[in-house]
Amino acid sequence: MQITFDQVSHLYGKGTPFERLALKNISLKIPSGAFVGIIGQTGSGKSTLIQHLNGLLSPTSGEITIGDVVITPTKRIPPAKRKDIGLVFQYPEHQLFEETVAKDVCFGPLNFELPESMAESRAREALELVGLDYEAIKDRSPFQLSGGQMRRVAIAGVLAMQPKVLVLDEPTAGLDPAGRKAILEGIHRIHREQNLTTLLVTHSMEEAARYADLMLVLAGGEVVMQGRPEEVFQQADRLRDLSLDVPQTVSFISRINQLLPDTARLPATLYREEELIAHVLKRLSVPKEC
Amino acid sequence: MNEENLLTFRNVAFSYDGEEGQRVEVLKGVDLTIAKGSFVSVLGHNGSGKSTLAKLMNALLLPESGTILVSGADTRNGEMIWEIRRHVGMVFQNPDNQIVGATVEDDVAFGLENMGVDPQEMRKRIDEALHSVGMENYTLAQPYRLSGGQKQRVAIAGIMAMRPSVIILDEATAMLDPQGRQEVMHLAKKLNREEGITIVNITHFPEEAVDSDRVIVMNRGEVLMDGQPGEVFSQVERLQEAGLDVPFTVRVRHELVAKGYDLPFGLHQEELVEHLCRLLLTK
Ligand SMILES: Nc1ncnc2c1ncn2[C@@H]1O[C@H](COP(=O)(O)OP(=O)(O)OP(=O)(O)O)[C@@H](O)[C@H]1O
Ligand SMILES: Nc1ncnc2c1ncn2[C@@H]1O[C@H](COP(=O)(O)OP(=O)(O)O)[C@@H](O)[C@H]1O
Ligand SMILES: [Mg+2]
Ligand SMILES: [Mg+2]
Repeated sequence: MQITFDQVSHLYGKGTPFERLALKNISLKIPSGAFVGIIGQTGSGKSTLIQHLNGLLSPTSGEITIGDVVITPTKRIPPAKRKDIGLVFQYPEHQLFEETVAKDVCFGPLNFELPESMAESRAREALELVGLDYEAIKDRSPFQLSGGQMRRVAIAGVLAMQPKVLVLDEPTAGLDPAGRKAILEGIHRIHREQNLTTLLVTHSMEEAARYADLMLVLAGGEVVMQGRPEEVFQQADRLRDLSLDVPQTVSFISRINQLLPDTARLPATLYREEELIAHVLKRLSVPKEC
Repeated sequence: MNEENLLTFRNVAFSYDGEEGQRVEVLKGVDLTIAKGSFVSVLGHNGSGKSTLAKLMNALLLPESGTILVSGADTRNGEMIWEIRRHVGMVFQNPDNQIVGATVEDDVAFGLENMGVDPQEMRKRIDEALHSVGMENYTLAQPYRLSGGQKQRVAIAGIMAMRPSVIILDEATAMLDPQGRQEVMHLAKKLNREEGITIVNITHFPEEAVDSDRVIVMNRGEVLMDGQPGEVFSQVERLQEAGLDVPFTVRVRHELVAKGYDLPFGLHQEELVEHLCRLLLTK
């Protein structure tokens, strides 16, 4: 589903001493099927922006369209359309509430009136996708899991809804390296197979580099940079000014290029680790032309 | 309370109570000593027992069997519990859950008030603590206006005001942007170096462990590896099998070495850059 923001602003605590303009006149267009990486300093407005997508927040002014649904300050997203937008909150483990893991993951599908057997098979699928063993975990209480395990359960709950737009707010914070990779690879796979439109908020420049085909950079409630990852990550100084960084691959390449003669430089666009390694191996294996 | 070994675990086991009254064993046979003034990193897959280990260190949990000593005091000794908790401070993941005060200085004062420190001494300690974390210009700021990294630094100031010997960071950088992460790591290193605070940094980022004195790797409730960063991170496959990873530089070198190229092991980017450039230029 295509998503557009047309001059969207959001003001928290209007008329109180805590009034805060968290989004300032944001306009953007996300093509259907895009995998969008959203980065920005803490407090830059990332969570505020994405909570507009499922009706948790309404714009103070401006208009948002998601597919054929239009959201304005006075028009909310129709309840029936809500299940199309799967939002994994920041700290999603705070949303867990059922007695068992299986009940928690089934809650969404059952709530949208899916038969019990189907809800269960979706729960199984979703839990395995996030790297949990369904049989081993289904009857445990979500409150007696480690932080990382809770996070996986919460993500599974959203995946079990099979949404068309998937929005993830720092989903991998606190996951171990294998868990991070498993979850993002799983999400990327469903993204492609089910032709989802996916928005991923992350503090990991490496994750953004690996999965995003479009990047949005937020600062002070505005979109200050956008484009393909290779365009955004060319601007290392600008990103550092915004409390951000470039992926390790990019700083590694730029350091190498400072030491190599002009003719031997590595392309600065190799921001995915395996592409960098493949390129280096290729360079090392061909004899140098003189 | 003083001893070279600030924290000692002797054959420690711990279980949580499961729903049906069964015991769920999460730590078994853990032997550890953490030397005073050291910087120790703890890695391990989700559920491997890191946070449980941390809570045992400051007597939030008590061992089921075995012994835990904090500067020689047994954590099971009820009379010592407050002294132990004051000595072993903890910072958690979520910066928004740890700040309780309406202003930065109120927040730092919180623990001192509970301890009944007199106002003059309190003023002195608050100023010192905020200075040590580089937040002295934010004394009266409202915490909600701070960045994530700043909030974590205020949380650390609250601990520093209690004059601790150890600070345990339980994934304190997990929710932070790249700059916030750097701020917190720089601060931890500075407090370790300049004030002799022992640091136990629990993290999922192998990069954060590169400069520590020691790396402990937990796996399914047991200590899988315990050594200097170089010893631990040279075992790439073993770490990956445990659901973990190695720093970027180690990973890149590992891939190139696997293809038959000769590059020395190193933990820092600069070493690999130098050797790789040489290799690229001689090709
Ligand atoms: N309150 C509890 N009751 C029962 N079991 C628990 C409780 N807290 C944790 N556990 C279990 O104990 C084990 C260790 O948990 P712990 O929180 O120490 O892991 P961790 O290494 O800190 O993981 P993470 O990286 O996800 O934070 C896990 O299997 C977890 O499910
Ligand atoms: N419920 C709220 N009430 C008032 N201000 C808020 C609220 N939530 C967020 N803010 C403020 O809005 C700004 C953007 O916050 P947020 O969207 O959470 O940023 P991010 O997700 O990028 O860290 C920040 O200045 C934050 O303090
Ligand atoms: Mg946020
Ligand atoms: Mg933990």
